[in-house]
Amino acid sequence: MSKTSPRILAVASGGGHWTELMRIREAFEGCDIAYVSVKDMYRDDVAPHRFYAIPDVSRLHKWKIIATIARLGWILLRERPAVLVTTGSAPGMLALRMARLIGARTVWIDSVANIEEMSLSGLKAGRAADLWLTQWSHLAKPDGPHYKGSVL
Amino acid sequence: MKLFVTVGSMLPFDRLVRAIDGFVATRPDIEAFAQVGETRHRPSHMQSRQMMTPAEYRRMFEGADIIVSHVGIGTVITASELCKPLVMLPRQMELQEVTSRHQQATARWLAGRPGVHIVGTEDELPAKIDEVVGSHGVSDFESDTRAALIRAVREVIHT
Repeated sequence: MSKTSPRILAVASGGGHWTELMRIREAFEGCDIAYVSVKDMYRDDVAPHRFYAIPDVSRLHKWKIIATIARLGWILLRERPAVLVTTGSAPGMLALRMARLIGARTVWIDSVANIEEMSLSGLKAGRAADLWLTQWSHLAKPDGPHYKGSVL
Repeated sequence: MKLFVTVGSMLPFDRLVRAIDGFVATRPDIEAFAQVGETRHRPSHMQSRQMMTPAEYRRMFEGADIIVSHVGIGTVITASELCKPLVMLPRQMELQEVTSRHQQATARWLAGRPGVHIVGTEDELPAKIDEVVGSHGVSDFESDTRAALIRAVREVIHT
């Protein structure tokens, strides 16, 4: 029986989170990969792979959360990923929690910008993740988050 | 001299944009372009855009001699990939420029790295830019830590 390429959904919000996700793209080589972010113009960075734009959600835009959840639900049901990987922030946390409901394995990579403490999203999402990572060895703990390396 | 000013997309950073706008007004030898995001101050002495596509952003980045920015990780990564010198002013939580103190922490960590020049206040920007012009860019961070992170993610994918 031939092994099919695993289906991956990679999620990041804008700015540095997206740049960090682009720095680990090699991890998805040989996979059936789709990307999710908050700016439609990021589509060009990952063409010809599938790309979905979602409404941003942050502490500044709390009211958008319903629209974001609905869109993520639609994407997850359509993609049915085996693994969800996210570099944060809040939309990544939502995606990770929802992906668990459909049985996906999940990876949280906290932003390298979080040097002194984990992000709030990272603390909330991380305990539910199969692989819960910080990019700073001094923030790692025996029960997670773990340190495996950094995008820099 | 060509400057590219970039302050991210999340929150205004008037302090930095206004300071550079004022600086280039006095300096006909400087050509500046700014991606200002949510910043309210509209520069009158340099061209600006609210947002650019990643391709446009990279082109501007490539064409500049010096990048002037907030302490954003995306900017640091792009500067290291394109070997550009960075002059950075951290956003301050006390001034409602950011919702956490992580830019100050990132600034402390980056300080002293070749090609990265952190200033404490906007008043220090002009002198720092003149000091940095012609100097080396940020060295690429490319290292075994990135390879190790990629390996860890691949392990989860292929289990």
